[in-house]
Amino acid sequence: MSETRLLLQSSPHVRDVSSVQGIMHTVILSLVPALIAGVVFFGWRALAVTVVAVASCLAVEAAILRLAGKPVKTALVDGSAIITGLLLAMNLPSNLPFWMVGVGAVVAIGVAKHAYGGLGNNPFNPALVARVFMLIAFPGAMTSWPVTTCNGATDVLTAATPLGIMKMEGAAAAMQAASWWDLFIGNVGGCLGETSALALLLGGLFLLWRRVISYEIPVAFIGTVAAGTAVAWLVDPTKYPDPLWQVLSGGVMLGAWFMATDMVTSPVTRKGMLLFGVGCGVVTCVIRLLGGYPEGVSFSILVMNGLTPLIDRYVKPARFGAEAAQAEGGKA
Amino acid sequence: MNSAHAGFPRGGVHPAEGKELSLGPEVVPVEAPAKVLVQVTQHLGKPSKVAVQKGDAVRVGQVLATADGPISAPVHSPVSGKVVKVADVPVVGALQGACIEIANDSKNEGAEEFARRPVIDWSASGTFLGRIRDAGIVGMGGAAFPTAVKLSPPGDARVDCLVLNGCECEPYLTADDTLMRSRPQDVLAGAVIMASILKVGRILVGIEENKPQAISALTAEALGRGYSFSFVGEAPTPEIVVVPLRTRYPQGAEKQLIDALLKRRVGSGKLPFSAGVVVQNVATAVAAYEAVALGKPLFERVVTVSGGAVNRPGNYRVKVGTTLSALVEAAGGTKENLKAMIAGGPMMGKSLRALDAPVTKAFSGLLLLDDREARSFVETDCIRCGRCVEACPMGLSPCEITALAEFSQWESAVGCGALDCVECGSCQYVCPARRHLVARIRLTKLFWRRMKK
Repeated sequence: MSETRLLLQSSPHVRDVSSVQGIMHTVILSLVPALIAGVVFFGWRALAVTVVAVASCLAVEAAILRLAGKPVKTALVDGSAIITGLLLAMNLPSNLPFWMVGVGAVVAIGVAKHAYGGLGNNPFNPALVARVFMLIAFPGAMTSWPVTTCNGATDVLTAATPLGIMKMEGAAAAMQAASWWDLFIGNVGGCLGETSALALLLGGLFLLWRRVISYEIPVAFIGTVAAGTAVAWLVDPTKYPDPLWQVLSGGVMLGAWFMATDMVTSPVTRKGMLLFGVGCGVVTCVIRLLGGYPEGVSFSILVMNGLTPLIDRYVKPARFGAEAAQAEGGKA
Repeated sequence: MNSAHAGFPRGGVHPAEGKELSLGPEVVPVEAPAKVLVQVTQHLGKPSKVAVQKGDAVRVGQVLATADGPISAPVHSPVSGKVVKVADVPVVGALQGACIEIANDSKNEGAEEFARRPVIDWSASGTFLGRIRDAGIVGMGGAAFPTAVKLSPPGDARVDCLVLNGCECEPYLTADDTLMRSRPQDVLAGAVIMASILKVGRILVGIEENKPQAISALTAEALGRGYSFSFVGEAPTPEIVVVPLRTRYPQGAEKQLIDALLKRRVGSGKLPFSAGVVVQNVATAVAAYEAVALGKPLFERVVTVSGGAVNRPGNYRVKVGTTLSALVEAAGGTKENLKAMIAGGPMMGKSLRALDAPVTKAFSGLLLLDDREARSFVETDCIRCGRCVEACPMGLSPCEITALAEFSQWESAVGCGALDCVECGSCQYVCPARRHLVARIRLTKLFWRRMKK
């Protein structure tokens, strides 16, 4: 029995099986249905954009890790760069030029993630930072939406998204362009991974079941969007479609289940998550109903990312025995 | 996780129990080795004073060191023989500690005194507390706080309940479980003695539901009053309720246990007295029984030896002062794949570098883990998943406290409740980034205390 090979460490000496890598791989798996839906509705170009996004995110990650002198291999296999690539692709139109996708990857991994210290240290969701950057840098390409291939058209043709139609022409035209069913299965124009509520719901429920996410953020987010748009709908049904239509359209499902639930950029407490979700919903409603953009999910999540440190500072878990200590203090 | 039984309100984890390894039919007695090392101070409080000299002949049960002041405890000889020396040697939980080395003559002179028929004479109940103090009894669950002090509540405390802690929520450990199964009468007799000292009429025994045999054994004795076989005179008849509790770590933590049994919350920085409760471990109860019924000091205890790297895992009755190497030898030695040695359970125990340290009164288990059980992990950056917050039974935010600690922001870390941390390890157990949360919180406490000085 040689002493040197014995493990000396501070307690606890046993660990749960879950790991960062395991969490990331579960998230990757949960995005598969949305990716399949993207390919079904937007053709192989959707897959190509996704592959380019993931590959360039991995390349940028590897390059930066090497430059920073950090271990390249372990950080690459943790899966986080793959997720950023996948989520970035989900937020892009399928007809986007590949070089723009590459630029997005540089912004996501290079600026939004590693400039802040890498995984765990970025205040804003990297994929969303890249998306908003691209929306400003390439406004035309980022808002020309291919028509879904199911409508018998090829991906050369473009059309406005249902939310774009709502903004320009009102509720009736928007609801005519896209029925609940179209929105539910994803047979509408939009980013390649955001249109199919069904596929996103499947992935989201999978994450919930595997306990990678908890219900607070998606439920609060979607619930708030439903409540806010319901008010608008009751006030002016000619201008605003019903809340179900609103919840199924645009980026709400992708945002609420996959983007807002990003652990790094959302609060750590359950109560904080609820607040975060409600905040996302409110900002989304304000932009959708009152703002200049047809959709506000990306902005809303980034705004709430910025508020996350504040939420964590003021929304703390209930300390055990706090009430007893208070009662004691009150007596004295 | 879903259980009909009561538990604590938030947090906690459920690691693999691993208790089947050591849970054998009986307690195996271990002969004291030729050389025993009795640690001079085995309790939390003022160090004991050595009362013997080199060359002194000692008998079993003879005082080796006396209590120094009220929050202290004496230490007794587990063997008969000669005092060889008093020297600093490696001990559990510290690099060095003073120990009295005794050459065991194996005659066990004086041991016969403690083998007589047990009698608890209630007409002399006024002497019980003194006997417990003189027997050097300390909390045997691990805290090692002098039991007599815990049985003397401050004047303003209104204690109405004695809680007996039979949770043994640490994985692998089965010493308390074995004790409850094999000596339920003695456990309860000890509890009745302690309840009478506290003048309380109610005893609650909390046991995790994964110990059904212990629950049924104690329940049967509580109902049949079998524990009173050695009683003489007018004995009190407290209400004794055995309560099965949800199996969830750390159910045996004092505040969590009191919450589960009584729905009372002990406030931050407060003692159970403030909630009208005194908590005692079941092994401590047996020691109290032996002190009162036999006049026997605390010089032996049941220790679990377990893990994949020990040849005969089980529960062993060992003399305090037995070196861990002698204990391992009694357990059949270790296997080739030994990877880690731990004093205590896997959640809160201490890593051991070698086995020269002796068994003490509060030593509950020795784990010899193999290379599958003990693994080292590389720490990565926090991904803010919040699982540590979910797991913390004290309602703290371990990730926040440790983030502050990393930048030496001790004051802010304490403001986040670092001092409330019971170091149960639940946060670190669940952390997917394998962060060293508990070590950082310990550091915070250490630096904070230094700053306050």
